[in-house]
Amino acid sequence: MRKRFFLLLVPLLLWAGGRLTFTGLRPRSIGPAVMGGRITAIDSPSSDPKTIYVGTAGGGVWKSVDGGITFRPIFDDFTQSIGSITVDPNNPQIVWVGTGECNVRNSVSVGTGLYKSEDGGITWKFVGFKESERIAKVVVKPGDSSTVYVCVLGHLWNDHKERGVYKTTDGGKTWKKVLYVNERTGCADLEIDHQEPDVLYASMWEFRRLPWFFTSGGPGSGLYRSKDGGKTWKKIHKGLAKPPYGRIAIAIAPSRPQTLYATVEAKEGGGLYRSDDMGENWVKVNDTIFVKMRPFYFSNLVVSPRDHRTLYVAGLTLVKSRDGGRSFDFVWGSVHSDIHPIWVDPKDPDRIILGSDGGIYISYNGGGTFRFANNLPVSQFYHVYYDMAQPYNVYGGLQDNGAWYGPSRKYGGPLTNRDWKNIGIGDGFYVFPHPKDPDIVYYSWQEGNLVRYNRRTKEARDIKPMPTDPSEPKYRFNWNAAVALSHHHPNTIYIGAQFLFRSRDMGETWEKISPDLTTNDPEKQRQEKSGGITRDVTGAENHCTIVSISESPLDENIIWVGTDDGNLQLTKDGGKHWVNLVKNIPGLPPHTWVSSVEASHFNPAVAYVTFDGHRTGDMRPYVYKTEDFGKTWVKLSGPEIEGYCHVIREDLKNPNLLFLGTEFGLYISVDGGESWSKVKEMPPVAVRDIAVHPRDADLILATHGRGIMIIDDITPLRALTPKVLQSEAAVLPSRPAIQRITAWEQDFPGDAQFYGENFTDGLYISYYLKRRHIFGHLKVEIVDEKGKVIKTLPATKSKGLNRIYWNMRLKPPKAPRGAGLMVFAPFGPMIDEGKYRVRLIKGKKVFEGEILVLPDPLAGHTRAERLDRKALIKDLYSLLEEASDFLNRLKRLKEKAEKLSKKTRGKLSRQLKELSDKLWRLHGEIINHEGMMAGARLYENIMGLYSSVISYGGRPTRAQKAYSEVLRKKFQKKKREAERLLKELPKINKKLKKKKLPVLEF
Amino acid sequence: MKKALIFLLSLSLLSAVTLQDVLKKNYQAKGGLEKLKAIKTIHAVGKVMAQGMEMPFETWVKMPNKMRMETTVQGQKMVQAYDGKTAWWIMPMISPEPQPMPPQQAEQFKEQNWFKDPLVYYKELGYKVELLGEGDFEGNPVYKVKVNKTNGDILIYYLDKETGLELKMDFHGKKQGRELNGETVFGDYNQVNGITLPFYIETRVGGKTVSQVTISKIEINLPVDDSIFKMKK
Repeated sequence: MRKRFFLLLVPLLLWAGGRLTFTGLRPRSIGPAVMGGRITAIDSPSSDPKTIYVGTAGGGVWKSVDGGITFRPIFDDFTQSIGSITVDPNNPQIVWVGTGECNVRNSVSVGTGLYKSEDGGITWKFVGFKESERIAKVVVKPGDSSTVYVCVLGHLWNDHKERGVYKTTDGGKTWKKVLYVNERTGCADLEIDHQEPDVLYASMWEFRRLPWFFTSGGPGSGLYRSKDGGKTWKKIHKGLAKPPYGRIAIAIAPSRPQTLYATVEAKEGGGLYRSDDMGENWVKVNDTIFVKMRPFYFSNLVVSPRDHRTLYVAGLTLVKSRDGGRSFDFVWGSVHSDIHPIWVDPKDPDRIILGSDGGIYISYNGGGTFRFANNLPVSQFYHVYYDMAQPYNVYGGLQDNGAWYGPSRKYGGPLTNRDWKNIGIGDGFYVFPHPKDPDIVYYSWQEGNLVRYNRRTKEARDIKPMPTDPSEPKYRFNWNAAVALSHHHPNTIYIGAQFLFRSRDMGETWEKISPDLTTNDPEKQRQEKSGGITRDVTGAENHCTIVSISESPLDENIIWVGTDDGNLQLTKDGGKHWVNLVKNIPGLPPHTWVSSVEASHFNPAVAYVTFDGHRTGDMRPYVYKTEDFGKTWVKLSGPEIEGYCHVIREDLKNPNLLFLGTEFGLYISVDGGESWSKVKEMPPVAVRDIAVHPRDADLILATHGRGIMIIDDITPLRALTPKVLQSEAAVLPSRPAIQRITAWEQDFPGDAQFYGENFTDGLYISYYLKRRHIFGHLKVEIVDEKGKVIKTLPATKSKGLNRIYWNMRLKPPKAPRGAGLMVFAPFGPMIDEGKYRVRLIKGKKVFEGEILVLPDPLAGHTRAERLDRKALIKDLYSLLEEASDFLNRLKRLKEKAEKLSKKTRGKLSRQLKELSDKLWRLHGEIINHEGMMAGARLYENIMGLYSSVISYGGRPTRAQKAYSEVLRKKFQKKKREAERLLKELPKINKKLKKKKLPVLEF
Repeated sequence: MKKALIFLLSLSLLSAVTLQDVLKKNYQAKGGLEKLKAIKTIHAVGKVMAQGMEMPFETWVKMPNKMRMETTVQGQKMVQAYDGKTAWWIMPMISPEPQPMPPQQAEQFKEQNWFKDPLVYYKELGYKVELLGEGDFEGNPVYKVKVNKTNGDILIYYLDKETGLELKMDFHGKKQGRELNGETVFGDYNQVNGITLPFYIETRVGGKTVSQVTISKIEINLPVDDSIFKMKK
C-alpha cells in the first residue's frame, strides 16, 4: 500500500517541481568550422552518392544531400558521440547509428546505444545497447534488411558484459549475443561477405583505460570467422603473428571476397596481413610504421571496391597501396593528420571521403588531391575565455586543433571561418588574452606547455615552468594542465604541475607556491610504460597532477586547487599553507578527478566543486558547495543531472544562479543548486567550460563537438526569483537595446560557406510564463513615455523563458502605387532613444516591465549629431510620403482622363488624351515608370538620399543637407507644374458634366 | 499481490495509447470531426512579422483547393492565389499585372496545408500516419504523430497531451536536390463557430524564429466567389 502511494506521488512531485524551460534563451552557435573536428564515421548509400552521413566524436551526425556542399545536423536529440554509421545497402532510407566513439583516446566520450532511422535520418528509434558505451560497427545482411549484426566495443574504463557481436533477425526488435569473449574484450571490427552473406569476420579486442594508464591487448584479442550467420565462430590465426594481440582491423576486398587484409597489433610480428582463402591462412605483407601506427586510435583499412590490390590504411596520415599492401604511398601536408574513417565510393572508387581529427576531406582522384569541407562546425573546445574588446572575442583551445580566437558577434555579419585566427598548434587548452595588453595572449598546449604570444608579430615565447635545481623532481603536467589568470594583478598567471606555480611577470619567472598537492602515488605514475602491446607515451596518461585552479576574486591569497587523483587543496595565505579538504566531502568516492573549482564572487568562504569519476567507470554527477572554506560540504547534484560533470560557474551578479556543464549538456540552477534544469535548446553536447562575460552578461560555452555557443544576455535569468517563478507571468529585465547601424559585406561565397549565427541587433524583450499559453491572445506592447503604444509585437507562448525580438524600426515610408523594385525602402526610422514601458498582455491580464534603448556607444556620434540626423530623416520621410501621395493622385487622374477620353469623341476626347499624356509625362519626370534600368528620377533621388542618411548613425554631410533642399525645391517645382496642368480641369469638367460623365478631381 | 497486479495492469493499459486515441482527442479539441469536415471556406485577416518587417494580410480559402492571399508591403498589395489549376501572383514591385508563379514557388504554395488538415483528411489524401510516441515540446508533454505525404514530404505533429491540440509541426521535404526543413508553432487558440483555431503561427528554421503570423479575425463558411481565385488575363 505504501509503495503504491509512493508510485502515485512520483509524477506529482515532478510536476510540482516543474523544470524550467529556456526556449527564448536558445544558445547561438557561432562555430567555427574552419578547423572541423574529429570525425568517426562516414557512410553514403551506393544508389545516391550525393547523400553523405558524417558521424563525429562529439558533435552528432550530419547529413548532406548535395555531395558535401551543405550539411545539416540530424541527430540533435541524441548522444553526440558517434561510433558508427551504416546505411542499409538494401534500402537507402534505413540508417543505423551506433553511439560512442571507438577511437579510445583519453578524452573520448561515451555513447548510449544503437539508433535506427527508417526515413533517412528524420526520425530515430532507440533499438538497444543502452549500457554499451561504444559501438564500433553495424553490418546489414545483403538482401535482408531485418538481419543485422552489431559490433559492440563496450566499456573502456571498467568491466562490462554488454559487448561482443550481436545479431537481430527482426530489424532490431530483439537481439542475440552471438560472439562474446569476456568482460574486458569487445568487438573492434566486423565484416560481412557480400557474396556469401552468412560469412562474417570479427575482430575482438581486449583493452582498458585507467585515469593514468592505457592497455591495448591481452588474451581476449583475436580474429574470428563465422560461416553460418554468426551461430558458430572459429579463430583464424594461422600465419598471423604470435598472440597475444592488440587491436586488429579487417577488410574484405569487395571485388574478390576471398581476399582479406588485416592490420594486426602484436608484440612481435605485428603488421599488415593478407589472406586469399577467407582467412584460413595469413601472410604478412608489410610491417612498416604505416600499418602499425597507434592501433588503439587508428585501426581502419579499406580495400578499393574494384581492385583487390588497392587499399587504404588509416593512421597518422592516409596511406595507399596499389600492390596488395607491399608498398605504400602517403598523403601528407594538405590533409589534417590522424585519419579515422575512410569511405570509398563503390561506383567511382576514385571518389574518397576521409575523416580526420580535423574534419572531412573529399578526393575525386583516389587521394591525389583533397578538398576540405570547412563547413562542419564540430570543433571540440576544451576551454573558453573572452576579452573586453567591443564586440568581445572568444578564445579557446581544441582537441588536436590548436588555439584560436574569433568574434562573439560582428558588425555586418554573418560570422564566417575567416573571422577566426589561429594562434597555437597541437592540442589546445587554455587561452587567455592579457587583461591589459591587447597584444598579448597566453595559450597552453598539452602537458603544461604554456606560450606567451604576441598578436602583432606572432612571436611565441615558451614560458612553461622548468626545474631550477637538480634536486627538484620532474614536473608532472596533466594533458590538460590547469592554467589560471589572476583576478587581481594583470601580469599574474598560475599553472599547475604537481606543484602550483605563480608568475607575477607574465611567465618570465615562476614561484613554486605549494608542495606536491597530489597523492604522488607511484602506482599512478607509470605513464612511460602506457600503451599495452604498442607503447603509446604522449603525455595523455600523465597523472597525479593539478587540473583545476581557482583564485578567489575577493582575495588573491585564497586559492583552491583540484587534482586528477582527487585532492582538493586550499590556501588562505597565498600558498604558504595548504590544507586538503577532500576528506570533508561526504558521499564522494576517493580519488575522484576534480574537474573544476569555482571560488565565489560574493563570499570568500564559498566555493563550488565538480568531480568527474568517468575514467574509472563512475558516470555519476558530483557537484558540491562549501560555505565555510571547505570544512563542510553540501551536495548540489541530483538525479536530474545527466552526464559526468566538467565545470561549474557561479553568476557574477546573482549568487543563486549557477551554470553546470556535463558530458551531456548545460544545466542551470536559479536556486543556488537545489534544483537544475537542462537547456534543451541545444544538442546534448559535452559542455567542457563556461564563462560569463562581465560586461555583456553573455554566457559563453565551450562545447566539445559543436564549437562555441553563446547565450546572449542572461539578465532575465538573474531575475528569476522564487516569487517570479510562482507568478503566472512576468516581464523580465534585459540589458539595454543598442541601436546599431546595419552594416553590409559584399560576399557571394556559394552555399558551401559556413555561417556562425551572428547576434541580431535589436530590442529583445524577455518574459516568463509559468505555463504554456495555449488559449486566448498573448501579445506585447511597447509604450513610449507619453503612454502611446508605438508597437504591438507578436509574443511567443513557451512555458518558462520567452524572448522576442524587434528591430526597433517604425513603418517605412509608403511607396507610390506601381513603384518598381528599386524604390522600395525596406526600413523606416528607428524609435527614439530612451526608456519604454513593456506590457505583456495575456488575455485580460497585463504584466509590465521596461526596456532602455541606447545609441551605439562605439559609433561615437554625439546627441546633437544624432538629433541632426533624425531631423533630416524626418524631412525626407515626409517628403517621400508626400511625393508618393502626389504620384498616386497624378496616376489616378491620368488613368481616369485616359478612360474618359476613350468614352468621348472629338475635341473633348483630344483634350482628355492630351491632359492624360501631360500628366503621365510629369509623373515620369518625378518617378521612373519605364522599367528597372531606365534611370533615376526625382523620387528615386529622394529615396537614395533617405537611404544614405539613414544608413549612417551620425550627422548628415553638408552635401546631403543641401541636396535635400534641392530635391525639395525640385519637387515643389513639379507640384507647380502640376497645378498649371490642373488649371484646365474646370473647363474639361464643365464639358464632362454636360455629358453626364464623372468629373476629374485631383 | 492481487492489488499490485491490478495496478500493473492499469499502468500498462494507460501506456498503450493508440494513434486513434490521440487523433480522437485532437479532433475533439478542435471541435469534433463533423464540424471540422464541414469547413468549406475560411477568411482570415492578420499580420505577418518577418525580419522586423510587418505586413498586413488577408486570405481566403475555399475547399477543396482554392486559395488567395493578399499581403500589403509598404502600402502596396501583393497577391498570391491558386484556383485549383493555376498558381499565380501579383508582385507590384515587379509588375502590376498578374503572372503565373514560377514553378518552384507554385509547387510549394500548392503543397501547403491550406485546404485539408492532414490529421483530419489523411485517409482521403492517401497519407500514411503513425504514432511515434511520447515526447516533450518546450516542457509540455506531447504525442508525436508522423504524417508521410504521398509526395515524400514528412510532417511531424506535436500534440499537447493535456489539450490534444497541435503545439508544433515539423516539416521535412526535398526540392531541387536540397532539403527543406522547418518548424511551425501554433498558439493563441480561439473558438470560431465551435471550431478551435490557432490565431498565432510561428515559423522557425534551425530553431530560429523567421516569421510570426498573428491573426485578428477568422470567419468560417462565409460565401466566397470563385472569381477571386482566378488569374485575370
